[in-house]
Amino acid sequence: MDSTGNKYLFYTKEYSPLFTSLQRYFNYILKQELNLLSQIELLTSTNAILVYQEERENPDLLKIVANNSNIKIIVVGFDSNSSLNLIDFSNIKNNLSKIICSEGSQQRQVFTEIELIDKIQNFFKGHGEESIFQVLNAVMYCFQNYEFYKSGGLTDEEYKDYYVAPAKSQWEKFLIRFDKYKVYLRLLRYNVEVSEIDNYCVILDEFVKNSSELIEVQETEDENNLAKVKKNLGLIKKIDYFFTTISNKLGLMDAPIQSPGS
Amino acid sequence: MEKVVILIPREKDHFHSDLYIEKKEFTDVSINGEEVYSLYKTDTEFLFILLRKFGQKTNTEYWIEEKLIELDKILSIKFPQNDRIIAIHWGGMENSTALINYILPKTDASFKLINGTAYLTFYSDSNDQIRTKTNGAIYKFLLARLKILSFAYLKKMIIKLWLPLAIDIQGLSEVQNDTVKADEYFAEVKNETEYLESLKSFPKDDDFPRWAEIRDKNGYKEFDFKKFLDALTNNDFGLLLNSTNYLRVEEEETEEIKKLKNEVAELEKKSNEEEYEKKKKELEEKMKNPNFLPNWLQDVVGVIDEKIKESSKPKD
Repeated sequence: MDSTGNKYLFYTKEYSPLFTSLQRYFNYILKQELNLLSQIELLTSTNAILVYQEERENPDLLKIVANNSNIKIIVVGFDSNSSLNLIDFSNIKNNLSKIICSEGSQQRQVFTEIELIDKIQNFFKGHGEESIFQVLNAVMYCFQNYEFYKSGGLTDEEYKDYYVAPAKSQWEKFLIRFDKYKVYLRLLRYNVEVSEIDNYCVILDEFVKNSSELIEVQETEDENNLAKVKKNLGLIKKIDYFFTTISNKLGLMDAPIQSPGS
Repeated sequence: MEKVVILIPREKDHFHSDLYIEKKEFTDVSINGEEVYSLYKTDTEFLFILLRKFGQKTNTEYWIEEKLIELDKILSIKFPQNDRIIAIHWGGMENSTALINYILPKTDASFKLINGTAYLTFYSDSNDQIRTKTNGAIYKFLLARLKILSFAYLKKMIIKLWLPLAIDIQGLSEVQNDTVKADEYFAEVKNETEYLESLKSFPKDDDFPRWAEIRDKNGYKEFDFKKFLDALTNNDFGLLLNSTNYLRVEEEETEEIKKLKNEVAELEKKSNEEEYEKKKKELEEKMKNPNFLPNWLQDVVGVIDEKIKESSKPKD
């Protein structure tokens, strides 16, 4: 029996009996070795990861999949009506033999395109929470009013309590959400955009975390701070642009980020 | 017996009325002298509601696990693995856009299992909207959804517990004529004592809906999962072989299958995807060993699927 390479399995404690049985089946019947996925460095394009359908959302697995586009993923399960092209256990010998023999077969998807888009829709719209655009908007609102604050339109206390503090909290919310969903964006092949946004987030995070320093600074530093604020506002707008573009491409057009009062 | 445990964090007390359970008697729960939860317990129904805190940072799964540990440690409510628990994780924040429509059609998609615990996430941003959508009977609505979830949970548990054994049985059926190999394989299977033991506790007889109907329809006359399990745990390969028809080798390739195989191969070469998929499916159906346990499992879950569908239909 030809083999496309070693087969690797991914499992968590939850499904260990299933994979122990599969290991035996591979060993005695298919004469193949099925190993525990433990060393990422062993992953090459000739390897395959068997994923049980219930474990598709495992965050560690998703990171591996998103960061290693060459890995062949074989979703195994027990649902002949699944929209996903999974290897159904109801005809196990035939189905498993086929994947072992099928040299150069296409990589199977962990999620269907529809499932991924559905997840991204949740990312944009939120789960009963603000849309991602609203979250970004709230951060932007704080810094767009920096000039107003410096011109005496707001007191230090007002700016701190009603602008900086909410911006920090919203920013944290943004990071948590983006971190959770970026893997799905990568699976939809938005790797470049995600990497760019990741880079912006590093800069913005430093800026937002230290934004209290914008208050009560010497007048001589105002100009420097204003430039800093404008630069970071630009980064937020770039993130917004990426999201708006992705949202449009996926047909998920949501309310774009809006200026306060508009 | 099913049970209801409703745990409401103190800062979310307004959920008492939102859930229309205000008439029920709650117990104040203190941690380090501070009242943190309202707890409602009953042994009559089966529901476990957790309300997520605003701005929670931790992953939902970890958060639920943490709460289960808390319940065990502080309140001495134990949730052993494989116990049937459904935690409803009521998320959402104030001042958000309406997403109530998200709740009804998509709840099953959010259904997950964590270490034997099932939980469902309900997202809400306006309790008023939920009240309107559910005609005010939120609690009733939750229980109705729960019925569906119980079936879904049952289905997942049956598959999760029995599929590994099904694969072993299939493997054993394929090596049974090679005595040395069969003995070796069987020894490995029966060595899985912890796993085999877990099968005895679940499912119960009642968990096999319309079993007799499935059995008769498919000719699974000799199958008795208890007898089967006994044979395994008692190291009785002979009994396993003789008392069930699940260790039969696959039928020899018939002329019909050979012909179908050729047709599939031809269609694959021609890149006629639609026709290829159709023929492939036909071939796979024909090649199924009717005695292979997953086929039986598929029938059982099929019946559960029907029940889920029936329960999902709107009631007048």
